[in-house]
Amino acid sequence: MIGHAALLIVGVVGLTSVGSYLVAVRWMGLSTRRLGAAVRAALHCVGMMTIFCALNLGVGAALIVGTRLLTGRFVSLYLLEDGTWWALSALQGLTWSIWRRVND
Amino acid sequence: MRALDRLPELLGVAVVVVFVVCAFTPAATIVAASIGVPTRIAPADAIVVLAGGRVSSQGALSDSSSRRALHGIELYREGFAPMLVLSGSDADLAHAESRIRAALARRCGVPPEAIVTLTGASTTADEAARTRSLLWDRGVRRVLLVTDADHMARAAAVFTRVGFTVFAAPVNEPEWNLEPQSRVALLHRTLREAAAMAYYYTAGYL
Repeated sequence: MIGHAALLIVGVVGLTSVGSYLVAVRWMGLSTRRLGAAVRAALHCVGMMTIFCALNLGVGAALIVGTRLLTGRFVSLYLLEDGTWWALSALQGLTWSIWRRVND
Repeated sequence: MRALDRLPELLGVAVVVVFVVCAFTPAATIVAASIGVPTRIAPADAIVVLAGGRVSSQGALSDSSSRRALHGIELYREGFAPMLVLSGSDADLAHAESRIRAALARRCGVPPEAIVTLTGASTTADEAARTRSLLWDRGVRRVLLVTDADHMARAAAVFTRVGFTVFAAPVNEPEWNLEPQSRVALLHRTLREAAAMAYYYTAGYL
């Protein structure tokens, strides 16, 4: 069962995707043949964001557990719940991916 | 090196597929329901309401803490146990979660002598150990455990491990008719619990 929010999201995102495709092809003269490469580059960014997120959360968890073991002081693993981890990891992944691309 | 270079792309595909499936299908609910503990409400020696997050600077309970406390109070008022144990992660200060919950329980008609507060536990395993120290000598063996549905599997396992017979009374059970953001949040909570379970097994709590 698809809810109203899901229908609205899919509809609007679909519409803006088609609209931006038309703007890109007709007015900006972008090549449709390079769209596949752009999608692959976007997927590379998503992958790098995920890798940085896993890396950051893994190092964070190790530091928390290490602090607990070494000092006996309790530090909550729920500190890893903060949404800022995701946002900054996304920024790291995006930067890494673009950096690699401009160096090709 | 070439294969390694393709890894982020493949990972990106996997993440996008998981995200879309999770946001637009009931997959997250199916996963959450499959690892959840079925509700089993039965007469017990005590109702144990686990801590549910920090109290605000204004002294307000978190949503999760309120829901758990109210469910525990409801079960007490329905006569499922003669004792209501209210846990809180903070030290026993004026704005401690357990004290605020106890005040709420009294306002809802639970007699003060039936309320036991448990303070200072940092983790679920710690709550189980402290509950045992507090209640075992009072003859409590069967507990009606109140916590969020996604937390119940781990909580029930550690309470069973310290010797209690556990009846599960979860709150916030996974729903089927969710909007995309709630589905993604449910999957996030389920994955977090799966990671916590793995940690508990590794650390020897289970």
